[in-house]
Amino acid sequence: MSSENDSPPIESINWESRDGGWSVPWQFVGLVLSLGALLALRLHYGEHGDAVLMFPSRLTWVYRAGLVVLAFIVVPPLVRDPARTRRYWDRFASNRVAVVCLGYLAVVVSLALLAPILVERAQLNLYIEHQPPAFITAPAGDDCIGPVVTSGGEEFCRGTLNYPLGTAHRGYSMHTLLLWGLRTSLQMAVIATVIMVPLATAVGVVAGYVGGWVDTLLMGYVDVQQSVPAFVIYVILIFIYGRSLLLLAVVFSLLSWGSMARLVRSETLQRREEGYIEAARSAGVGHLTVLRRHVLPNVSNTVLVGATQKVPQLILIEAAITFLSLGDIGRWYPSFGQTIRNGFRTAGGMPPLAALSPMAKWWVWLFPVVLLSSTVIALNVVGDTLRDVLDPRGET
Amino acid sequence: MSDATDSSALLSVRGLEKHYPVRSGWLNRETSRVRAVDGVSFDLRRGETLGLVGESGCGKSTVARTVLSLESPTAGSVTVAGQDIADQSRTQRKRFRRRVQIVFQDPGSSFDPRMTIGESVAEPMVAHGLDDADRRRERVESLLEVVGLAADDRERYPHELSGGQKQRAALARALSLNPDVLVLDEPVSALDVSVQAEILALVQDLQEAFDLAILLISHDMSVVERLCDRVAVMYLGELVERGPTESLFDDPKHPYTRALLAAIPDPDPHEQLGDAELDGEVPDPASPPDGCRFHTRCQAVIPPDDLDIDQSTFQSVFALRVGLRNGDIGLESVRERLGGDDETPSPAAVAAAVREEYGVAQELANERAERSLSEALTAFADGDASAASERLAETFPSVCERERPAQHRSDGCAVTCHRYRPDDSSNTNRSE
Repeated sequence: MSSENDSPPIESINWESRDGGWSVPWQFVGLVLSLGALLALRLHYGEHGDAVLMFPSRLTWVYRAGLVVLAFIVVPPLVRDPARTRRYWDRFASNRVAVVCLGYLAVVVSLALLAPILVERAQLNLYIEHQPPAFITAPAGDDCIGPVVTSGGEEFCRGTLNYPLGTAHRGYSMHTLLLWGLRTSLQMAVIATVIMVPLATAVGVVAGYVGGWVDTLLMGYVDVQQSVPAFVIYVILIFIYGRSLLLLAVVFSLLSWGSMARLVRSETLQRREEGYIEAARSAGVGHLTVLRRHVLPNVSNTVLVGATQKVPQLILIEAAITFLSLGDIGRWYPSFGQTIRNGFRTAGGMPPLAALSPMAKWWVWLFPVVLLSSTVIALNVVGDTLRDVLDPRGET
Repeated sequence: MSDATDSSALLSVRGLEKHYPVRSGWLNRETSRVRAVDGVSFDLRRGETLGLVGESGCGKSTVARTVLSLESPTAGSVTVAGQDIADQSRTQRKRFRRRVQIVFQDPGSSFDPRMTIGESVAEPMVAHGLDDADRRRERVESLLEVVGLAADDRERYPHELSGGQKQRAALARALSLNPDVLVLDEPVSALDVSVQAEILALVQDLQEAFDLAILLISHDMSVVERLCDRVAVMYLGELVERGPTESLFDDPKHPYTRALLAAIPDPDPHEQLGDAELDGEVPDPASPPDGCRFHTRCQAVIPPDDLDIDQSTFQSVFALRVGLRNGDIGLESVRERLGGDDETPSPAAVAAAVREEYGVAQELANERAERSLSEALTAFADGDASAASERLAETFPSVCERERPAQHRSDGCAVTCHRYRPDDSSNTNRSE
């Protein structure tokens, strides 16, 4: 401090004249606008069909809203900080299997998203039940539309390119069932994610950050909820609302987020003690801003990993429940479970082909089993790799 | 150093108490209280550095958190520039937040791993309404340069910086709001020794440049000696001694301060280790000892007037007594050490072993003392530790365990010890 003219090393600011900062939450505004646009479309087209789909049901609209919400949750953090995205990607890419699985999932999700554009809904045609896939022969019934070949005194039906993956019960073509089945699984996954992730995050973060009796109350509720079997509740509700995919998705999502909330809570408890939160608090940053700027971004990894573990479970549950004929049946929401069930069914249906043994119509159950299990395995592999990649301990 | 608020002080702490209730049972009733801070007072003037030292668990970090109003005190007051922080309007609170800033011990956790250093340093400014992004960026860059980082470092992430660099950035963040008071909570204890020196030098420069009042919290006496103008020593939530750094280091009065100073490693190999080292653990702050809280570990416990015994003998018998009272000596473990598992050792052997462990002579010179001690040890060997403790208490009482010492002040120093009676201006130190 040699002379009066020394300029201070840091300019002094008249803080008194400033109020707290306020900025436009663009992400939130965008989300609200998009959902509003979707609502306008819904009001305009109703359930009579639009450019993409004939007769979109209530489930379809919920699914579309879910897709919009997911886009606004997932995309902005990835775009906002390209350097970090790049860092995560580099670490992810070091696991070859995971990259293959991610590529596979990308294909599957694209197919599921585009299913309504690629193929029409499954068409009923009782005269072409159980046609074998192209170039494959199977014991012929009455309704073989391809060439019938005779070998060793027995007649065999050869598949045609009209139905490259063959046909199933009631003459539904297999590729339609598979594509629309994927779409059903995606709908289940999207609705479940959009219900579970915000709920689990909100409850976990509030319980962990506020603590005290709020924590006791919320976690007590989670305990109670976890002891309620979703399956039983669903079966009971079927008698009131009828079998529906929307009901299935809502009931199972609303009763399955407890374990995720617990993970988020314990992560929040750890984060709350971190120096940067104390530093922010002591600098006068409000609780809400601390939650938004520090807690939420830092628990988002836990949420993401929790979701990738929970979603495949719910996809399998959906297939299992339709396999038991307790799900949405019919051609509106062809489900893997339903198709597999029909592949194994040896009685009922139109004689004589419905009575075929499962081995004689193997394509009906094999394709969905392979597609379903490979999707679930890929989801699990990607989820495990994400857990390793996003673990903050790997960041230092 | 009067208890009335010093008008020249920027930060005044008076009778600060912070108790944490311990709740248990079905109804969540309060069963006891952890007295983390129990009546602490000090003043901090502009441009001055006050060191707050003590072992871990003595409540010094709680003082910091309470001073920053991250926790509300159970009792007492914290005043910043004449304004009590307990009753503040919203605007006053924001002003207080700008005036007092903190740097934490662990550089690893003091930055959000998801934010760049620049964003973290700018965060307080955003919260206080500096909306102009360009101006904020300029300010962040000059702040980083002031603390010895490069302006480009603002784009880096915490994991790309070393511990020392992060601590510099933490100082930059703390300075961003032009504070008057800086609280440094163990600012260098997580760093390498070479980096420690750099950061301490930086703190000195910054203090001079910004005329900061610094409250330095540390367990490291050498850091305190280097940086502080005045020192306050804390033990179990209380201040036991305070005074200018030089006089406190040259002539420590409180036995605890002496023990802390003796714990500084001395580079001279010929220097004998002082005999004032600290034994045992800090007692549980949920049930602090009666009288002087340090008496359980003190090397200078005052013997009763009617007992003719030398200080060191009294000291070791007293330690034995405290050990018996707190149940630190287990009959089983003594027996086990003595006889293995063959047979039960004789009471005489047990008594001898206990004497040896506490450094008590096998036969005391004073007859009354010896009788009492041997009776007590016989009772102990019979398995009645409480009777043994009571027997010893009759013969070996001390004012240190009965009465809480009052504060004795002289020339800017204050010490809270029975060896310095407040009415005694002649400063009789009976051990000398």
